[in-house]
Amino acid sequence: MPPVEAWERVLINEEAIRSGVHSFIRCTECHGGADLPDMAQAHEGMVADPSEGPDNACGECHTDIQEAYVHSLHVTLAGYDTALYERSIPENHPIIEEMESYHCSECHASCGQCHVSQPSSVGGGLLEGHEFVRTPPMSRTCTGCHGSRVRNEYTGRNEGYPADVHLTEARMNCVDCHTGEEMHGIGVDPTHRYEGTRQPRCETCHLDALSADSGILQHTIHGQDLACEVCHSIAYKNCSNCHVQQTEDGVPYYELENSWMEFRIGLNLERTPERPWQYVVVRHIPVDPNQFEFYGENLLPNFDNRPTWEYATPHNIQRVTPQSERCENCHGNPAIFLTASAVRPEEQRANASVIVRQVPSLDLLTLVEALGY
Amino acid sequence: MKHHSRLAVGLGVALIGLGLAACAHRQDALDISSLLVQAEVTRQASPPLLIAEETPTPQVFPVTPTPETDENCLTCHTDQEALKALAVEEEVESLSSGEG
Ligand code: HEC
Ligand code: HEC
Ligand code: HEC
Ligand code: HEC
Ligand code: HEC
Ligand code: HEC
Ligand code: HEC
Ligand code: HEC
Repeated sequence: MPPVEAWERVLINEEAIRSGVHSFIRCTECHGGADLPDMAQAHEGMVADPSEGPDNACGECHTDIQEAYVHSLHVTLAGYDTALYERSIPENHPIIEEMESYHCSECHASCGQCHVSQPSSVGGGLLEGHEFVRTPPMSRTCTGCHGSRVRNEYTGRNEGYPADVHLTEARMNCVDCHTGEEMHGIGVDPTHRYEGTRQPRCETCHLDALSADSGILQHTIHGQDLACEVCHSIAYKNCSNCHVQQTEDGVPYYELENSWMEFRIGLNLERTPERPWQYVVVRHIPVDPNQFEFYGENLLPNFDNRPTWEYATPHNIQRVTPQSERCENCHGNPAIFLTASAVRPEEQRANASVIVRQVPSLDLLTLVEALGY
Repeated sequence: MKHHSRLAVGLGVALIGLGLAACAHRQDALDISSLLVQAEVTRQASPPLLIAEETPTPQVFPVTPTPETDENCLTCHTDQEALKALAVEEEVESLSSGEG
């Protein structure tokens, strides 16, 4: 994203503000402050983002969206609570909440951060001179927050790894797959990203390729044992040892010790009708037992309750990948599976339920040959 | 939030101004969809002249659907030179290290 200067971030396009249905609403009705010629006086009591929170300036009219949206992960960030509370104990929740209030406040996506301005994580800045933009522009909204993993994988920014076919072959945007309904959280109240219905589903668009007469042997043989990404993703970003802290002046920051590119197939922790696969792709997340040391000792005493290699759906889909190019690149190849030796000694217990004890054998291939496929 | 009664007026105004709505009464609760439905029905049902006759006097409901906004705010925020002079670059130097 090109850097936008301070004045440009707040420059309004008069035509945009005077046209359309929102032009009947005065600035001060949304933003507070006062309609005065002096800047300091005008800004007194002003709210920079009136679309934040459950009682925002949009909900009265966009009732349906607002009602759902307040339960969406973009507002609740429940995914983080789920991940941290399960590794902790109730007594520690208040300290964790306090920590989150310092470190996660920029991550909430308000209506305006998708429809009016760039997210504050990249310094803000009006999108189209304060138009209420219907379709959030991918590179100015979504990837402002989903940068280090999703954007870099999707657009091929990790050196040596190509971009996702949906971008290269079809120029698809985030919202071509992630609909407004999904973004507004219509019909769901999830506690983490992979709960409930898959949104989107690969099959919605690729039924032909998966049908028995597609002629793709790997599809017909494995049925629902393998998630699509097991064969169609390439190596993705993994992280470890993230520590959060504050400067003497109370400015929150983090230090991420380590990140690397790796591809690992692990077991699916929670097999459900919606996610029936036995094998999925797993990503090392930056969690660490002493991650929140700055805020208190031993805040994650149940560290082993969840894997550090988590279920993942990387955005770097390819038609042909190193592991699926030939059957034997996967069968009998422990290097691409999350075997015990791929996991650090101190994380063995946390990952016991996702470690692959036996990689699929080469014998299975001979069997297939014998059957004359 | 108290701005909504004014919004109600604003929207009522818009619809009347467009010669669409039979809003002889004031809408108190703001319900866009019902307003729009009403407008849709009116458009098909009544000839525009009749509506004009039934429309209340302009003092109460000005006929022009000109959106009003806070002109002081808008004047400054559309004035590049003023903004350049007033906007201060925040120090957003991040202390964080590693992938975000
Ligand atoms: C319907 C409510 C609404 C109205 C009316 C409105 N705004 Fe906004 N404005 C927003 C939202 C939402 C944002 C996005 C805030 C964000 O995402 O951080 C915004 C952003 C801004 C920003 C950028 C703030 C920043 O720090 O990035 C400025 C400046 C601004 N508005 C000025 C105005 C002015 C001046 C008017 C009147 C001419 C006005 N707004 C009318 C809702 C409104
Ligand atoms: C006074 C009622 C009202 C308020 C308050 C309001 N809107 Fe709207 N908005 C509408 C109506 C009416 C439409 C047009 C119908 C529709 O698409 O739902 C609309 C349309 C939109 C659209 C689609 C624009 C397009 O080009 O299709 C977006 C995005 C939007 N609003 C965002 C917001 C946001 C964000 C806020 C809060 C900062 C907000 N609105 C506040 C009434 C309102
Ligand atoms: C202000 C930052 C921000 C912006 C802007 C943003 N996101 Fe997110 N998004 C997040 C955070 C943080 C989470 C994780 C919430 C959790 O796991 O609890 C998330 C979660 C998600 C999820 C998984 C959960 C769900 O609700 O489905 C998807 C998909 C997603 N974002 C896509 C998008 C897309 C597409 C856009 C642009 C239209 C976008 N995001 C814009 C911060 C943002
Ligand atoms: C070709 C379709 C497609 C496109 C394009 C796409 N996604 Fe996704 N995305 C998916 C699928 C499939 C999932 C997994 C959904 C599930 O299992 O519930 C997903 C999951 C996510 C998640 C949650 C999981 C995670 O990794 O955190 C986020 C966030 C996300 N997408 C963001 C984005 C952003 C940002 C863009 C644009 C840069 C984008 N997506 C483009 C298909 C797509
Ligand atoms: C994470 C990003 C994101 C957030 C947050 C978000 N939206 Fe949206 N919104 C979208 C996407 C994506 C679409 C679909 C755009 C399209 O289809 O072109 C959309 C569409 C819309 C539309 C037009 C279509 C419709 O469904 O009526 C309106 C109005 C709207 N959003 C209002 C809001 C309001 C109000 C909020 C806050 C309560 C909000 N949005 C929060 C991403 C977001
Ligand atoms: C919204 C529709 C949509 C979704 C969801 C979607 N795709 Fe695609 N996919 C496409 C389009 C369009 C193309 C471009 C080539 C084509 O038309 O087949 C494509 C191309 C591909 C290709 C390359 C095919 C070729 O001919 O080169 C693969 C492999 C693929 N998708 C796998 C996936 C996987 C795996 C998922 C889920 C993670 C997914 N797709 C989700 C629409 C989609
Ligand atoms: C066991 C490995 C494996 C799994 C699992 C797998 N695929 Fe494939 N897929 C392949 C192979 C191999 C091809 C053919 C590549 C080639 O053209 O050489 C292929 C081709 C495709 C194509 C392109 C079809 C075409 O006509 O060119 C699409 C789309 C696709 N897969 C989607 C999916 C989706 C969606 C899933 C999950 C439901 C999935 N695949 C699961 C191995 C797999
Ligand atoms: C990317 C990894 C991968 C690739 C590529 C792959 N397989 Fe597999 N295959 C697996 C895994 C993992 C299992 C174990 C599934 C299970 O335990 O149910 C498996 C199971 C099988 C089975 C047993 C099926 C069953 O229902 O138990 C056969 C037969 C088989 N594969 C043949 C093949 C052939 C033939 C090819 C090439 C055309 C191939 N596989 C390519 C990973 C792969």
